[in-house]
Amino acid sequence: MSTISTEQIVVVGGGPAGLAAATSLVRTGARVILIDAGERPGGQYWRHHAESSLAAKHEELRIIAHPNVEYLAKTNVWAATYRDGVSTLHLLIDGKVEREIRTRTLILATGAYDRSLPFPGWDLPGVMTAGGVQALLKGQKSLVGKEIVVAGTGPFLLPVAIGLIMAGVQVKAIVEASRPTAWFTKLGALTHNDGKLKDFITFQKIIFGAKVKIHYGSAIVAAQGSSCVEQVTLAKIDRKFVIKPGSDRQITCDALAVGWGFTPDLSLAVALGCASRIDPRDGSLVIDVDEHQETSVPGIYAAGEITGIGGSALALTEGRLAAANILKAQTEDLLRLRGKQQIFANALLDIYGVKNGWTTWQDEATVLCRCEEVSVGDLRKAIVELGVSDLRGAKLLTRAGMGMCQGRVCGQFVAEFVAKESGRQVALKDLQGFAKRPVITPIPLGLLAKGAER
Amino acid sequence: MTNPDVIVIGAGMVGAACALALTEAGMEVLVLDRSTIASGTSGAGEGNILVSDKEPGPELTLARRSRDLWFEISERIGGDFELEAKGSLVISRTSSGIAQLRHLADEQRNHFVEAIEVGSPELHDLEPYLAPEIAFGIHYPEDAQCQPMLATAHMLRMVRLAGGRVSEREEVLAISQAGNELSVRTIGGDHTAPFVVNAAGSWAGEVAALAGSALPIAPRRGFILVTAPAPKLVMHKVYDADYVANVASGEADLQSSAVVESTKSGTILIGASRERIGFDSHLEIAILRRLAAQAIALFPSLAKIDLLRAYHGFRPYAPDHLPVIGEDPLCPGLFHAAGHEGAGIGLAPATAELIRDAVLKKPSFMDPTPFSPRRFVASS
Repeated sequence: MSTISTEQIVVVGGGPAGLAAATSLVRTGARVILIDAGERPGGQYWRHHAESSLAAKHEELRIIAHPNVEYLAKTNVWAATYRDGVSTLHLLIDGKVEREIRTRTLILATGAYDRSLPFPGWDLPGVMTAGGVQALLKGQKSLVGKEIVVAGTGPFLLPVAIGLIMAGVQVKAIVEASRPTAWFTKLGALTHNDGKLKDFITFQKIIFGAKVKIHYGSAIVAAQGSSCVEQVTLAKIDRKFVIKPGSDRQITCDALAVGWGFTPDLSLAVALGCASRIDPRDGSLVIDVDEHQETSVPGIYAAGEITGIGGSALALTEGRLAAANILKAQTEDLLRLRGKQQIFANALLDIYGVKNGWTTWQDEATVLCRCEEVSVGDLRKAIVELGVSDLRGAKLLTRAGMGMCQGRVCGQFVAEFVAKESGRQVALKDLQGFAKRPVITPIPLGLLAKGAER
Repeated sequence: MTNPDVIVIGAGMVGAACALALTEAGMEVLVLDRSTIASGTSGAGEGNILVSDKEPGPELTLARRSRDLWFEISERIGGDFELEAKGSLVISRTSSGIAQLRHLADEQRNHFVEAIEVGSPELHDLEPYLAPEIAFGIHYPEDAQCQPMLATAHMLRMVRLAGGRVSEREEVLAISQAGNELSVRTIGGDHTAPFVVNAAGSWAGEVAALAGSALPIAPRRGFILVTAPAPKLVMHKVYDADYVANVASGEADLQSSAVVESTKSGTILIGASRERIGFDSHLEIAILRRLAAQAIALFPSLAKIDLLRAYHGFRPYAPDHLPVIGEDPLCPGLFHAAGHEGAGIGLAPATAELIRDAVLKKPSFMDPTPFSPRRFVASS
C-alpha cells in the first residue's frame, strides 16, 4: 500500500467522460491518475479488442500514453471515504494488489450498466443484456448464439444488432417498445443530434439489407427453454407497456439480448457522500451536480452517465467541462454545447422511456432477484403478510438485492414493484439505501487483513 | 385520534415482542415507528440469542428465560424466521484467557447453563476448519440464532391478525399526561392510552425526554462483514474469549474480537467491533481490516473468500450494561424496554414478559428491580 500526495487529479472511469476529462487536464500540464476497471481505455461505449484500430480515431483513447498520465487498468475502487477535503480511494488492482490514493480533486465518471426488467424466463441461460452481448462481441469477439433476438428499447439496440449481423449471427428480430411516430413530437431536438441521425440512417440500411424485421410497439415478454432459452414470446404492448391481448406469438432462437436503457453506477459517488436525486426523466438515481459538474462534496466532480443518462457525446462534453472548471479555463462554449446535447438526450429518454406496465408481465414464479432467487410470489407474500412497504424492507425480509450483484440488477425494479404493490411512490430514500454499498466491489478477506495494523 | 389499550413506540425486535406479549394478554396494541419495521438496530445485527456471553446475575436469568421463550414463540406463531440452536464455541489461545474462560463456564454451570469444555481433537471435530493451533474451547449448545428482521415482522403479523395496528413512518412528537392516561402526539395525530412502552432502542433516551424524563442510553457502533456465499466452513457461532471482555468493557475507543458464523443463505458473518462515537456513519476501513484479520486467525481458509458487504448498527447501551425495563418514576404509565446493547434480539421475549407483567401488575418469573429505570431516574 502506498499513499501519494494530494496534488494530483484523480479520474475514476475510462469511458468517454473520464477520458475526455483526463485529455483536457493533461493538455495544460496537469498530472492525472486515471483509474479504469477495464483492461484498456474506452469504457462500455468505446470497448474494443487488442488489435482494434479504434484508438487511431480518438485522441482520448491514446491519452493513457501521455507522460503526465498514470493509467491504472483492471483497477476497482473497492472502498472510499471523504474527510476534511480529501478523498481516499482504496484500490484493488487486478483483484490481487491493494493501493491507497488520496486526492483533493476527483472526477467521477463511473458510467452506467444495463437496465433490466424481469419477465418469465429472463433468468434462463442465453438471455443476456444487450450491453453484455455487445461487450463480449467488442471485447473478446465472442458470440452468444447463432440465432438471436434483440429486444428492449433505445437507440443502443441497433448498433448491438448490427454488430451481431456483421459477425455473421442471424438476428431473427429486433423488438423495440417505442414507436417511430414518437419522433414527430421531437423534431426540434433532432437538430442537436451530433451526427446520430446519420448513424441511425446507416443502421437502418444495414438492417434492411440483412432482411431483419424491426417490430415496433412490441416487447419480448417471456422466454422459454429447458436448460437454455429455446424460444421467446413476442407481444404488442400499448403506450403504458401493457400487453395487448391476443397479440403474442413465439419466435425460436438460442439467445436473447435485452436492453431497457441504462442505470447509472453511483456506488463510489454515494460512498464519498455526494448528494443524489431521482432523475424524473427515467426514474434513475443520479448524482446531483451544479452547472460546473461539481457535486455537493467540494472538490469532487461527476461527469457522464452518473449525472443522468445522456449518451457518449454529452459525456465527452461533461468530462471536458469538469476539467475546464478545475483548470479555471473558459467554459462558455462547452456550456452552450452541453445545453444542446441535453435537449437531444432528453428527447431520447422521453421517446425510449420505460413505462410501469412492465409490472404486469410476471407470474408468481417469475424470479425478481436472480442472485438470491426471490420470486414475485415471495415478494408479494412479504408485502401482504409481513407489511413490507419499501425497498429496505423487501431486502431484509426476502433477501432481494443481497446477493453477488448487491442489487445492481434488481434494485430499481424491485423498488418499483414494491411501490406499485403497496400503493406508494418510489422514494428517494429507497434508491439511496440500495446505492449505499460501503464495500463497492468484493475484496478477498486475506488481502483486506494484510493491511490491518499490527 | 385513536384510543388503544397500549401504545408501543418502536417497531424493532423489542417493540414487536412487547406488542405480541401484550396482544396475547388480550390488549389492543398500537405500534408506532418513525421509520419502518426493524429499520434500526434490529435490522443491523446477527440475531444472537446467547447465554454464553452472560456472567451470572440478573441478565443471565433474563437470557435463559428468553432463550426458552424464543422456541415457544416460534412454535406458537409459526412463520419461518430461521430460529436455530446452532450452539457457540468460545475459544482462547492464552493461558490467562483459558483460566478466565474456565472460571466463567464453572460459574455459568452453577446457574444451569450447559457449558462443555473441549480440547483437541474434539474441538476440530466440532469445527473442522478452525485454526489447528487452537486447543481450548467451551461449547455452549444452547446458544441460538434467528433472522431478526423476519422475527420482528412475524411477531407484528400476529399483532395485526389479533386486531392490533402497526403504523410506520409515524414519528412521535410529544408524550404527556391526560387524566389517567397518556397522550401521544405524532406527525399523524393524537393517540391516548393508559400505557405507553418505549422500545425505541438506541433512540429510547430521546423518547424518554419527550415524556419529560431521561434515560442515559447511548449508541455503541458495531460493524459486521458479510462474505460472498461460500461452502460451509463454520458450523457454530465461534468467537474469541476476548469478546466477553469487550462486551463488559466501559472503554470508549475501538474494541474488536472476531465472532464468526455461517448463515442459512451461505454467507459468513464476521463481527464484532464496539465503539462509542455517537450516531456516526463514517466508514472506518481500519475496523474492516482488523475484523478480517481476527476472523482469519480463527479460520485461515477465510483468507480466500471475498468480502461482499459491510454494514453497521448502533447498539443501545446503558452505563451499567444492563437493559432498562420497567415503569418510569417520573411518568406513570410509561414503561421503558430498551438499552439491551448487543443482546436485544435474544432478550426481547423475556423483556416483553416483564413489561406485560408490570403493566398487568402481576408477579413475574424474576424480580425486575435490577432493570428498573429508577437506577437512573430519581422520582420526584
